[in-house]
Amino acid sequence: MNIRILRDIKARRTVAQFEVLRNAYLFVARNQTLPAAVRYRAQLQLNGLSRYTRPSNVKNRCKESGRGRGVMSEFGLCRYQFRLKALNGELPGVRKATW
Amino acid sequence: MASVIRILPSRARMLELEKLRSSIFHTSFNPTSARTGAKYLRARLRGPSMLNYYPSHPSIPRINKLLKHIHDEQEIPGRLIQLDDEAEIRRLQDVEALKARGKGKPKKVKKKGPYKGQSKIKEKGRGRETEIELCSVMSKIYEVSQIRRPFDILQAVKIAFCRRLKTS
Repeated sequence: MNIRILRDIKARRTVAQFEVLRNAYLFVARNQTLPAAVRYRAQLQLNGLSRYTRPSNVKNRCKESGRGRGVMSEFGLCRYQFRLKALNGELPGVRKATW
Repeated sequence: MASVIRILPSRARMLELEKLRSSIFHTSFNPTSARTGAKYLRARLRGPSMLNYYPSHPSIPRINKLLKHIHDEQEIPGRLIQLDDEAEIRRLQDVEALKARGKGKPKKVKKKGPYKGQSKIKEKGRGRETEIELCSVMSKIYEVSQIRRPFDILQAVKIAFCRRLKTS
């Protein structure tokens, strides 16, 4: 648990909270059948929303260390934490390969 | 051998057929392929599943907060029960030790002249309320959209938004 994870949790909460509103504005802004003035105002509203309301702002970080890169999506762990846990036998079905 | 010449119906006639078909099967009729933004309404909500990514560990501060919340909410007579948070106690001790050595937090300087930092403009009052209202309307629309009548929903949303943008 570190600040980056906390920030990501914040982003996730904000995205969930504003998703419906955001989709509604997107619908109006991208709708070519609506008058241009209306679409423009919807786009302005979208621009005014916090950056944390964007779903692309959310990143799947390592659940253990908060690392943003090298995260295996299947385990939600970065490569080093994965190795540690796997060697400890904490990941069911994962074994060190030998041949 | 007689050859069969098949002539396609005219474009206008085909369009008529499309229109009739869409009215029967409740699909949208969009001959010019204009972008209607319907994909944003059709998309599933991603937020709820996003919330469950990180596992929530019960921590002592969190438990203490919960205990305090229960204590305040239900107005239980008696002492407030709190767990000992060793990390927090140690931290406070460290802060005290630093203070004793004159390495504590610097005192806040009183402001002189106009504040030069960034000023945040926060919208309060009516705008926020209408947004929340709109949110509830949209969530209702989403509920209705489960019944698979996108055409009516699109109309409803269009009307709702035009009205809101006019009034604001």
